[in-house]
Amino acid sequence: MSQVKINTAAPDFELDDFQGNQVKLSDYFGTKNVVLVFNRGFI
Amino acid sequence: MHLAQLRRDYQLFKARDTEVMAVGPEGPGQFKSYWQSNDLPFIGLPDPDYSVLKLYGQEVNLFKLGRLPAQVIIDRDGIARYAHYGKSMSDIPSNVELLELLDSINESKHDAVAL
Repeated sequence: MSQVKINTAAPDFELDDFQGNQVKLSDYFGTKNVVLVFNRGFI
Repeated sequence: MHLAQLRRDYQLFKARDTEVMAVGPEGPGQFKSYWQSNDLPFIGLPDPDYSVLKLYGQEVNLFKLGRLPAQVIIDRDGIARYAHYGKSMSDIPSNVELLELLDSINESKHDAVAL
Protein backbone atom coordinates (compact mmCIF):
# COMPACT_ATOMS: atom_id res chain seq x y z
CA MET A 1 0.00 0.00 0.00
CA SER A 2 1.32 3.38 -0.96
CA GLN A 3 0.81 6.76 0.59
CA VAL A 4 -0.93 9.58 -1.21
CA LYS A 5 1.35 11.90 -3.14
CA ILE A 6 0.88 15.63 -2.71
CA ASN A 7 -0.40 17.61 -5.68
CA THR A 8 -1.72 14.54 -7.44
CA ALA A 9 -5.32 13.43 -7.88
CA ALA A 10 -6.70 11.92 -4.68
CA PRO A 11 -7.93 8.34 -5.18
CA ASP A 12 -11.71 8.40 -5.44
CA PHE A 13 -13.75 6.09 -3.24
CA GLU A 14 -17.30 5.30 -2.33
CA LEU A 15 -18.42 4.07 1.09
CA ASP A 16 -21.66 4.01 3.05
CA ASP A 17 -21.63 6.10 6.19
CA PHE A 18 -22.77 4.42 9.40
CA GLN A 19 -26.35 5.49 8.67
CA GLY A 20 -26.30 3.83 5.26
CA ASN A 21 -25.94 6.99 3.17
CA GLN A 22 -23.66 6.61 0.20
CA VAL A 23 -20.67 8.94 0.32
CA LYS A 24 -18.52 9.40 -2.76
CA LEU A 25 -15.42 11.55 -2.53
CA SER A 26 -15.74 12.96 -6.05
CA ASP A 27 -19.27 14.23 -5.28
CA TYR A 28 -17.52 16.95 -3.27
CA PHE A 29 -15.24 18.03 -6.08
CA GLY A 30 -16.15 21.46 -7.39
CA THR A 31 -17.84 22.51 -4.15
CA LYS A 32 -15.90 21.59 -1.03
CA ASN A 33 -12.48 20.75 0.29
CA VAL A 34 -12.36 17.49 2.20
CA VAL A 35 -10.33 16.68 5.28
CA LEU A 36 -10.00 12.92 5.32
CA VAL A 37 -9.13 11.58 8.74
CA PHE A 38 -7.81 8.08 9.31
CA ASN A 39 -8.23 7.47 12.94
CA ARG A 40 -6.05 5.41 15.17
CA GLY A 41 -9.16 3.43 16.13
CA PHE A 42 -11.70 4.39 18.74
CA ILE A 43 -12.96 1.07 20.02
CA MET B 1 -8.60 12.47 21.35
CA HIS B 2 -8.45 13.41 17.72
CA LEU B 3 -12.14 13.20 16.81
CA ALA B 4 -13.15 15.31 19.80
CA GLN B 5 -10.51 17.81 18.74
CA LEU B 6 -12.13 18.01 15.30
CA ARG B 7 -15.60 18.32 16.78
CA ARG B 8 -14.56 21.38 18.75
CA ASP B 9 -13.62 23.33 15.62
CA TYR B 10 -15.98 21.75 13.12
CA GLN B 11 -17.73 25.07 12.45
CA LEU B 12 -14.39 26.60 11.52
CA PHE B 13 -13.86 23.85 8.96
CA LYS B 14 -17.36 24.35 7.59
CA ALA B 15 -16.72 28.08 7.32
CA ARG B 16 -13.84 27.20 5.01
CA ASP B 17 -16.10 25.20 2.69
CA THR B 18 -14.65 22.01 4.02
CA GLU B 19 -16.20 18.69 4.93
CA VAL B 20 -14.59 16.38 7.45
CA MET B 21 -14.78 12.62 6.97
CA ALA B 22 -13.41 10.09 9.40
CA VAL B 23 -12.64 6.61 8.08
CA GLY B 24 -12.00 3.65 10.35
CA PRO B 25 -11.94 -0.14 10.31
CA GLU B 26 -14.80 -0.48 12.80
CA GLY B 27 -18.25 -1.56 11.65
CA PRO B 28 -21.37 0.65 11.26
CA GLY B 29 -22.75 -0.29 14.70
CA GLN B 30 -19.57 0.67 16.47
CA PHE B 31 -19.39 3.92 14.50
CA LYS B 32 -22.98 4.75 15.30
CA SER B 33 -22.64 4.27 19.04
CA TYR B 34 -19.37 6.19 19.12
CA TRP B 35 -20.81 9.07 17.07
CA GLN B 36 -23.90 9.24 19.24
CA SER B 37 -22.11 9.09 22.56
CA ASN B 38 -19.60 11.73 21.47
CA ASP B 39 -22.06 13.89 19.52
CA LEU B 40 -19.82 14.07 16.46
CA PRO B 41 -21.16 16.36 13.69
CA PHE B 42 -19.11 15.15 10.74
CA ILE B 43 -19.24 12.15 8.42
CA GLY B 44 -18.23 8.76 9.82
CA LEU B 45 -17.28 6.08 7.30
CA PRO B 46 -16.95 2.49 8.47
CA ASP B 47 -14.42 0.65 6.34
CA PRO B 48 -14.34 -2.90 7.74
CA ASP B 49 -12.88 -4.22 4.46
CA TYR B 50 -9.99 -1.74 4.76
CA SER B 51 -10.62 -0.67 1.16
CA VAL B 52 -10.10 3.06 1.64
CA LEU B 53 -7.62 2.56 4.46
CA LYS B 54 -5.44 0.60 2.02
CA LEU B 55 -6.14 2.94 -0.89
CA TYR B 56 -4.73 5.81 1.15
CA GLY B 57 -1.92 3.79 2.68
CA GLN B 58 -2.73 4.12 6.35
CA GLU B 59 0.03 2.37 8.22
CA VAL B 60 -0.37 -0.19 10.91
CA ASN B 61 1.87 -0.10 13.94
CA LEU B 62 2.60 -3.78 14.41
CA PHE B 63 4.14 -3.32 17.83
CA LYS B 64 1.20 -1.48 19.30
CA LEU B 65 -1.36 -3.37 17.22
CA GLY B 66 -3.03 -0.18 16.15
CA ARG B 67 -3.41 1.93 13.05
CA LEU B 68 -1.36 5.07 12.89
CA PRO B 69 -3.34 8.29 12.39
CA ALA B 70 -3.26 10.03 9.02
CA GLN B 71 -4.85 13.16 7.60
CA VAL B 72 -5.26 14.12 3.96
CA ILE B 73 -6.63 17.42 2.64
CA ILE B 74 -8.22 17.23 -0.80
CA ASP B 75 -9.10 20.46 -2.55
CA ARG B 76 -12.15 21.23 -4.68
CA ASP B 77 -10.35 20.02 -7.78
CA GLY B 78 -9.84 16.60 -6.23
CA ILE B 79 -6.11 17.17 -5.72
CA ALA B 80 -4.42 15.96 -2.53
CA ARG B 81 -2.82 19.13 -1.17
CA TYR B 82 -1.60 17.84 2.16
CA ALA B 83 -0.97 14.45 3.67
CA HIS B 84 0.32 13.67 7.10
CA TYR B 85 1.05 10.10 8.08
CA GLY B 86 1.61 9.91 11.81
CA LYS B 87 4.77 8.30 13.12
CA SER B 88 3.12 7.52 16.44
CA MET B 89 -0.38 7.33 17.88
CA SER B 90 -0.15 10.93 19.09
CA ASP B 91 1.44 12.39 15.93
CA ILE B 92 -1.59 14.40 14.83
CA PRO B 93 -1.55 17.93 13.37
CA SER B 94 -3.39 20.62 15.32
CA ASN B 95 -6.64 22.09 14.08
CA VAL B 96 -4.87 25.44 13.73
CA GLU B 97 -2.39 23.87 11.34
CA LEU B 98 -5.16 22.26 9.26
CA LEU B 99 -7.23 25.46 9.20
CA GLU B 100 -4.24 27.51 8.07
CA LEU B 101 -3.61 25.03 5.27
CA LEU B 102 -7.24 25.31 4.20
CA ASP B 103 -6.99 29.10 4.22
CA SER B 104 -3.98 28.96 1.95
CA ILE B 105 -5.68 26.42 -0.35
CA ASN B 106 -8.77 28.62 -0.55
CA GLU B 107 -6.65 31.72 -1.18
CA SER B 108 -4.76 30.04 -3.98
CA LYS B 109 -8.10 29.21 -5.61
CA HIS B 110 -9.18 32.85 -5.36
CA ASP B 111 -5.89 33.95 -6.87
CA ALA B 112 -6.37 31.56 -9.74
CA VAL B 113 -9.82 33.00 -10.38
CA ALA B 114 -8.50 36.55 -10.15
CA LEU B 115 -5.82 35.81 -12.72
